[in-house]
Amino acid sequence: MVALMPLAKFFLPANSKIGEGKRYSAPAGATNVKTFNIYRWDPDTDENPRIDAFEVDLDSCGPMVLDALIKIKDEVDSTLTFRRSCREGVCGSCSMNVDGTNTLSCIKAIEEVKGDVDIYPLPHMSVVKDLVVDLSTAFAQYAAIEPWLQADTPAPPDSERLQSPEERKQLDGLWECVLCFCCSASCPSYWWNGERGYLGPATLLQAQRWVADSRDEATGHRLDELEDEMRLFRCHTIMNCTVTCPKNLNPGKAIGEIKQLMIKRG
Amino acid sequence: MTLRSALGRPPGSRRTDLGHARGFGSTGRGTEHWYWERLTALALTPLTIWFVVSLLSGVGASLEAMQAWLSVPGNMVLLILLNLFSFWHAQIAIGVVISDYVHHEAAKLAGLITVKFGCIVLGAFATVAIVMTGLQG
Repeated sequence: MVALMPLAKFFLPANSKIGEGKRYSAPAGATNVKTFNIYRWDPDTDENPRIDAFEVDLDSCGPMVLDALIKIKDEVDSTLTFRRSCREGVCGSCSMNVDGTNTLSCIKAIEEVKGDVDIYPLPHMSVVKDLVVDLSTAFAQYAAIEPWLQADTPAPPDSERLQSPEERKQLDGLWECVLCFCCSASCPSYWWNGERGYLGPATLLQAQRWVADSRDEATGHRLDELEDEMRLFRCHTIMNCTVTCPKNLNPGKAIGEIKQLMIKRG
Repeated sequence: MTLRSALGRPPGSRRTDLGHARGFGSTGRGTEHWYWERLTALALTPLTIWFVVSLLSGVGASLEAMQAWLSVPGNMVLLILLNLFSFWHAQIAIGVVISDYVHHEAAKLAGLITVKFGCIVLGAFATVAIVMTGLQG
């Protein structure tokens, strides 16, 4: 019955309820111990997700949260699953929720976290396994904004496509994005409507990166594609994106600039 | 195993992620809606302050005194504007909330239509009430 259909779900489905997992004690004699509570879920079993607690000796561990994860995978439980690559904040692979905030675990210092370190996958994404989430939709949305330079004018035969220093400056704060999707996964509007067309802060910041590029000749086409109540205007300036960005970028500002261009072109 | 969020797609859908992301394409709408939501909010700010101050200064006054206040053309115009902008803004803003959270298509459409008509009816009713009350002053 339509009239009785709940408009929102208030409880997790039974198979998503998180249980208590195993506890792995620190090696005997360790004096500088920190506990890492890590979300675990294995699609190949029928078990519910659980939180495993790993006690890590920080005296034999690198300084970052990712160092601890790698140490746990190496020495305690090789089934612990997470994405990582560059370990210096440029590849965007190791995005996850650490201590309640989406961030890149490779540039999040363990000592910044008071007490236990709680580690979950990015919120509101389908979990593939443990800390790995399904980013298929997010990357498809990124592909949909055509993130490459579009110009009918051929590049000069004897040089690159040039910009003035001022034009180049327009890209600062945009080109640094590493597509970790920490911001999109922190955005309530993207939680509710990401699958229904809202592009989310990461993809919108990338869209603005091409709109703002003086070498690009498809600005009008790009704005046409963005002008939509779902794609762009589901942004309600909640600003979680800007708060959480591990690269200290400002997706909220980038989206505001797109909205201003919409007004400007009338 | 291909994992795909069930949200927004029929169960078992084999549509590609890019096809889903592009969907029906851009509607080319949304800017005016967004602009008027902010413009009505801007108009409501001074009108609301004026209204609250006026009400506070009328605390304890008789009905006749308030009717006399309302019969001043400037007061009546400002109150009618406050009323119209309120319902105009409410209609846009409640519509945004419905679009955000109500994902059942039929329920969403019914909600949006109800809010639109409801605001028009209530706005018209309140305007007539203001005029009639003022004219008795």
